[in-house]
Amino acid sequence: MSGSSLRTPAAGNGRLPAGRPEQPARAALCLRFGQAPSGTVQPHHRRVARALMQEAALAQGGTVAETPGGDLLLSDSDAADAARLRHTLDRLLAVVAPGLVELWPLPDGAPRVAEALALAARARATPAPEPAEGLPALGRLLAELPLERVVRRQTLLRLAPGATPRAAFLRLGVSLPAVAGQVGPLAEDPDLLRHAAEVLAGRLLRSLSEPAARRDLLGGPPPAPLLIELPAAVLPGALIPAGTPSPQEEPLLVALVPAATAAEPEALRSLRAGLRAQGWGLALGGIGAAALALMAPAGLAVDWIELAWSPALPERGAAAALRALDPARLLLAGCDGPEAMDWGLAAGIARFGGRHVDAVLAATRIAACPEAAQCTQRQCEERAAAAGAGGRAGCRNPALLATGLPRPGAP
Amino acid sequence: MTGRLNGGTAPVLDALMPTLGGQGGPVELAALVRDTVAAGVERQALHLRIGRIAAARRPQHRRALLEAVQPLRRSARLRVYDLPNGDVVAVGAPPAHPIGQVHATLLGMLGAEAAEGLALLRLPQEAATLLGAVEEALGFTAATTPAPEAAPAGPPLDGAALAQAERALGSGDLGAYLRRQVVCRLAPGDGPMEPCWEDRRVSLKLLAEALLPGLDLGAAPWLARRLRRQVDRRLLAELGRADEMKSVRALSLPLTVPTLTSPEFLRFDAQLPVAVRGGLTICVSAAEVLADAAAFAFARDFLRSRGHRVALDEATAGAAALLPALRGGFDLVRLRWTPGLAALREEDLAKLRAALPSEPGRVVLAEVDRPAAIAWGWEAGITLFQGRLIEQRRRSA
Repeated sequence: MSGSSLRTPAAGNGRLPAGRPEQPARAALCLRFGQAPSGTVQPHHRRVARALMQEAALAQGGTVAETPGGDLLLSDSDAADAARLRHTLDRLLAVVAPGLVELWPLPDGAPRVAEALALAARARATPAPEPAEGLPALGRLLAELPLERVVRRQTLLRLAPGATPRAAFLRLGVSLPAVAGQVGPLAEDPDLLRHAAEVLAGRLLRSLSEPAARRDLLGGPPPAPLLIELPAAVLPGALIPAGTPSPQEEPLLVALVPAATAAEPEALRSLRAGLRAQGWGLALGGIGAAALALMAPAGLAVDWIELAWSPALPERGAAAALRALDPARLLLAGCDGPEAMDWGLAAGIARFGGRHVDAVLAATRIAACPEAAQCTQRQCEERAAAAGAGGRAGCRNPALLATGLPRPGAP
Repeated sequence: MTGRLNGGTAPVLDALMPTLGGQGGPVELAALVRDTVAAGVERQALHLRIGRIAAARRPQHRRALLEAVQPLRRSARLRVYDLPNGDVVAVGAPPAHPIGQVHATLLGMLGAEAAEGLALLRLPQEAATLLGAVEEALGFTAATTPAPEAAPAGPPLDGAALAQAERALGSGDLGAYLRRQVVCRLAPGDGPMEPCWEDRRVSLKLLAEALLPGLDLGAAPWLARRLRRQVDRRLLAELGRADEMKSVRALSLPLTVPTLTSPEFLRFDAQLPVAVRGGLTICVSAAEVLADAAAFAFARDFLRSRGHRVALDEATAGAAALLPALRGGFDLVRLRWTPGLAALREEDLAKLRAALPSEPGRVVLAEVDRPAAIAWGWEAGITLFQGRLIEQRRRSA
């Protein structure tokens, strides 16, 4: 640390530091969160960055301010300290976007600091207290909520060079955004949201074993094996609809469990054995680039691994883990554009799901459907995702809708 | 102490067991195992676990079993040990034909009970298993193992019960649920135990027994996690008090991932004097790591940039192999002792060893409740231990 602690605080009230050549060099630091790709900056990124800047401000006398656009500003600091902080922040936030931190040497940068401070909103209020209101009534709400409102169905597409595209799986799961829309402020706590989804997934599993409810959820005979998002907590004791125990063939029912289920690979092994005895397969879901970077997944006792697409997936961090996995056991979820599928195909993956796949399938159905004159592609996508008669209303070709994509050669 | 050992299993008994008095059988057997490990010579052992055989409760059946092992006592190339609980162990250099013959006879007599009641072991590879049997025969295990809980799982934890528990937790004292244990360094033939740091954690089990009696937390893991987050906040608030701050100098603390970037943790971290940084180890379980790997990676980098150490917490052998220390960026791995570790297959053990941090003093074997755990730890090159057995030893020292 330099002798700067002897200085009187300069910019404490937005007052600007005057340029004094005999003093050690000064600088302001601006963290351009406002320029990061939307959705990449999480509240915890902001909290940590702010705490680190606040610490520097306490030692150096500057202030930390946040602009309405989301940028964080440290108004004034010793230049060497600011450079160190910039390095730390750059390293920590590389996962968000590179080059978000700017160093503004003073006094040259003073006008920009003044502008940012003028823009700065009052310090945000401390985070809302954990929502507890409504917690006692959550159980009843979840027991009564119509499943149709929260369950989504999605066809996964199987693509292989030289082969006709076909449905790989019909994936059924409870949508977190849909649940958030139903449970109100409680959903602000991610743990409560995931608890709600887990309870609803248990109900989904029970419903699938009742023929009428099953028909309603699926809309017709499924075109491919069912891939059902289920937390491990509901699996062993739950009523599992009996599949055909035929370990040689591909099972018709596959439980898709969240990544954390692999935290005890020993337990995963017995879970798989238990499921297999009942004719079920096991898939591990939600494995994204960040998880792959940490894992040595060879030998995991699962039939399938569902990768979560992100542009970071092709990067170096995930490469070692991906090399250890057989691409024939991989599903690529969250394909939101052709680049995801291009990467997947190049990596030898053959099964794809996501918004892009939904759109391609809807366009294919509309092209093949004699009843589609009035339908938009968007409508067809939404009806295919619905898990109830209400959501499918308006479709005059429910058989085609249920199969996901037209059979080759069929009209 | 018994001088230098390669595999280092048996001195655990020297280091930790009470004097064995006149019970010659088990002491001699322990000594033999020790010599076998030290010299690296191969031995074959047959263990008849008579106490575990239901049929042996009938006297005539018991007599028949003991009669069947008589040929072993007549062989000059074998040594036979009678343990206080009635078990019989025979040891000999391979190929020990009488052992093979008696084993076959017993298999025929025991049928399905053979899985529990009969074991054929190889030394020195399975030394830890045989030492475990000696401890059990001495009643050591019974003394340190609580009665297994047979209570069936109750109804799942629900929102109403959680809301009530949260209110109680907000005002109540955390002390009753707090478990403090000291992580100690204990190396083969290396003098007394050396305390290294304190592991402080709230037992969610004790807390649930008090605040949520009869409810099954495992059936609602996300609600349990919310409770844990609240516990985290309380712990941090207590640690932030001036009189507690100095304990951070040598402390390990399990926390959930969201806590690590919460306002409470950031406030706590900002208060920490520079001098105590580097003494704080944050423990994160594999389930927490995998639940949101991106959030974990960010929190880990933040913690390390602040001078704290990050440990993979309560890992099973499989979890430690799935999340290798180097790839996961863990400074330490806190491995949970279970008897299953001593029974790991060769290839799984190799995988585990490759995944653990390579520098010494970076692996803690936790929940050590019997000497066999330490014996296994030493074989695996581990010198940091934590658990009930260590606490007992510290108190008696």
